[in-house]
Amino acid sequence: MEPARFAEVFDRHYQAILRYLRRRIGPDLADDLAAETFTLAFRRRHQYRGEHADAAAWLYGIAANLLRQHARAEVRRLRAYARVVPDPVGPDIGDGVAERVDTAAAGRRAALAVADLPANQREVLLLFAWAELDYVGIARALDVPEGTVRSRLHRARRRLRRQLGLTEVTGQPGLLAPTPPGRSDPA
Amino acid sequence: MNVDELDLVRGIAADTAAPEAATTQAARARLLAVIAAEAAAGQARPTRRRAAGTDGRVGLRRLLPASAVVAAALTAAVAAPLLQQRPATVTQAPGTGTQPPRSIGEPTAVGVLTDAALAAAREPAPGFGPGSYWYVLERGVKLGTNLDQAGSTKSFFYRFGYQSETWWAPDGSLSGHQRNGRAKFLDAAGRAAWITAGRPDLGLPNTEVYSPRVKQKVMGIGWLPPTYQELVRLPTDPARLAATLTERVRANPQLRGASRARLTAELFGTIGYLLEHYPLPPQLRAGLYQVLTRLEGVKLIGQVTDLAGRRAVSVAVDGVDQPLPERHELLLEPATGRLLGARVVLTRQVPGWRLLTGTVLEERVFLQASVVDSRTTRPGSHPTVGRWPTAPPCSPCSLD
Repeated sequence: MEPARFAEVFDRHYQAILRYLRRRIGPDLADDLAAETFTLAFRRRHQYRGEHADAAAWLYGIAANLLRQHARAEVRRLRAYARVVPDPVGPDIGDGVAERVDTAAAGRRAALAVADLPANQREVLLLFAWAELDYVGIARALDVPEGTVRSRLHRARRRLRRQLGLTEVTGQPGLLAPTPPGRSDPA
Repeated sequence: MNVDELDLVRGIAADTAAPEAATTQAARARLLAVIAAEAAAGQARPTRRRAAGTDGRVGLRRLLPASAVVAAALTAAVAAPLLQQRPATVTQAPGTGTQPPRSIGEPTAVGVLTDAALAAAREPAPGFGPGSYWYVLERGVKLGTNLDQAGSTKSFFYRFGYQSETWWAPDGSLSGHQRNGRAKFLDAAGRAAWITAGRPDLGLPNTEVYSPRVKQKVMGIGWLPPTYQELVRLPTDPARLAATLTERVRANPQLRGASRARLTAELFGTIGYLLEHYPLPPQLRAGLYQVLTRLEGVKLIGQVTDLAGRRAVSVAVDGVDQPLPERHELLLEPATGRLLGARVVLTRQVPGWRLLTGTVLEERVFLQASVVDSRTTRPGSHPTVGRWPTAPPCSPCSLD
């Protein structure tokens, strides 16, 4: 990727990366990390594989690496969020209030549950839920196999559901070997 | 409360303020300064660094089964113990004394497959047609795991054998059954993890029944099981056959946008499936082997011993876009090129997965394939088929 093209990459992805980082560690640190993400990306542009049309996953991967040095700050922010999130009781007082208060309480518990996740599961979960990367994108971002992404996300979601008292998702054992090309399955 | 945990996560800090213009401008200026500094220093072309970046991450390319890496690893792979996968061990690595194929001096995949094509063309026609059925007796072994714990210490791996009998009719319908044997854990740690997990049901042993009324789709090939007429209409000229099959594979919606390497792997599997399961005319069978010689990345693994204790020559292609680095092998009878079986082999150890390089993830062998006259008839040489195997399914296999 030539230097001249890099400005285009910045223009296309900066806002999304910055917003993601702000959600994770707050604006003070995030602004600096977002800028650092792009300068690092420029210096490492030879690592970008041009066959992927979208550089987003690559950039999120660089941002994720930078974030790892601030894991404690992130956990503190999530816990703080759990304390301050307001109950969404608006002017339309009515039957929906209780449900909205329940949702707010669940949101607080969710923030705490995310804070308590192992770092690698939290990373995958937030890239999926906040950055809206798919499995392949997350795998590219974190440089791990897609299967690892799936298993980490599955474990993170299961742990969240347990902590939030939602219906448990059971992990059904299954075949390790993927269906090889040419095998038959019921239509 | 009817909420999803992901919805709750999406709601966390969703009200974070959008970036201000000044922040964006500052970051852009910082980047442009770096670009300008590099240009001024005459470093417009960055020096290629090691695959792992300064952050210590391993480059994705190293995780992909690049052919060069896999080729280099093959010797190690064949030498590694196949994790109790008896007796399917490679007995001789390529280039270490393997009897060379007749067609060329050095053993190569192309040579082996060309010999197979020549032998297939000389075979008599199977004599298949209306009122007859194609019977296939297959045995195999598969590996299972608790996927939700993959890569963790809570994971367990189990292996089970199976035996299937199928009867394929000229109209494309398939009947038969598969009997799965008891599961056996690969190691004590796996069994302990399974017990800790509350002994989840592995679904074994069991019997799966294929009814001719339930249609089966063929994965890679992207079409429903062909009728005999569809098969015999396939061109036998290798170039035209390759084009026809490639078109079929591309038509599979699941492969939309797939890479060239993925399509090649799917085509390899598709041809293997056709060779495995259907009474093909000799020229078509020969054509399929010739198409295999044209595929990029098809390589010779060497001589192996299959699950039934038979010597075989293995040719393979790397799996693409699979969760694990693996290769897909076709096992051919050395003298005749007849397809004896197929298997999937792990080509590289994956951190956290307690599987050694060379672990056979799945293997199947074809023990009998012949024309019979009803959906319940077995070939005369094997009028009864006995117990299904336990894991390991048979070492060596006996046909009762």
